[in-house]
Amino acid sequence: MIKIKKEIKSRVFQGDIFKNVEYIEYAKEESGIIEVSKIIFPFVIVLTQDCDLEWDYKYRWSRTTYGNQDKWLLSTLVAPLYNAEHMFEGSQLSKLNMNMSPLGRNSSTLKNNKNPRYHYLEFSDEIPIVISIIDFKHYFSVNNLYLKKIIRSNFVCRVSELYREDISQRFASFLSRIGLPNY
Amino acid sequence: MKNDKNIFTDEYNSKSTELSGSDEEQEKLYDSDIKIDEKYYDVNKPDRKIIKGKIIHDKDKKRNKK
Repeated sequence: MIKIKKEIKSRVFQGDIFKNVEYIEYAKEESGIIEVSKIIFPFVIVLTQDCDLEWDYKYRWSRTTYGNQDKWLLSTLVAPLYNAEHMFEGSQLSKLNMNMSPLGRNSSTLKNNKNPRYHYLEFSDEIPIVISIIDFKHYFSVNNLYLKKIIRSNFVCRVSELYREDISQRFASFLSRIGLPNY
Repeated sequence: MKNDKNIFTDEYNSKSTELSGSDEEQEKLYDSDIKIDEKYYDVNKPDRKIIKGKIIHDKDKKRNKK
């Protein structure tokens, strides 16, 4: 079980979990009709480095004038949290018409976070999130202003430092893996 | 150095973006936000939503007003 914090802060932190976060797939315009397709993710976790988020916040919102926008971020990186039960069925993306390979329900490799692709998360009862899994193949960026705007309404909890660093380190490791050819 | 200012100084905290109220009030606010909601357990799959709309140009707006 991971340790979490519940307090809302005015800025976004690495390890923050938000509910109902929108990802814009595309926006197109044809003959005066605009079409926007978005995916609403029930839960996402913030992966962007916390020091980057802190500096972005200071540069944008503190009263101090810095003279440039050097520390502004263009976006914040997040990864969806999928319901573990759905992942055991391979149905977590069924509403997007995607069939996924089912994961072994009793896999100790998965539950002990020994499978590099996935991160298993179990929350205490006070947090309204079921056992969830992060799939490190899935991540996207969210506009910073949008995320800040929804802090009060959509913030759920914050993964504490040690556990978030574990997630961050495993994500970075998976992202930087080297695919070697089979000979 | 200017940039070394602690973000938790009074100046920083006095921003309007900061949550207002005492710690107790903030805690209450938070608690009300995270009240366990059964629907989280049922609806927990990403879903797609497509929105379509007509672009209304400024000149159209003016014409409609007349």
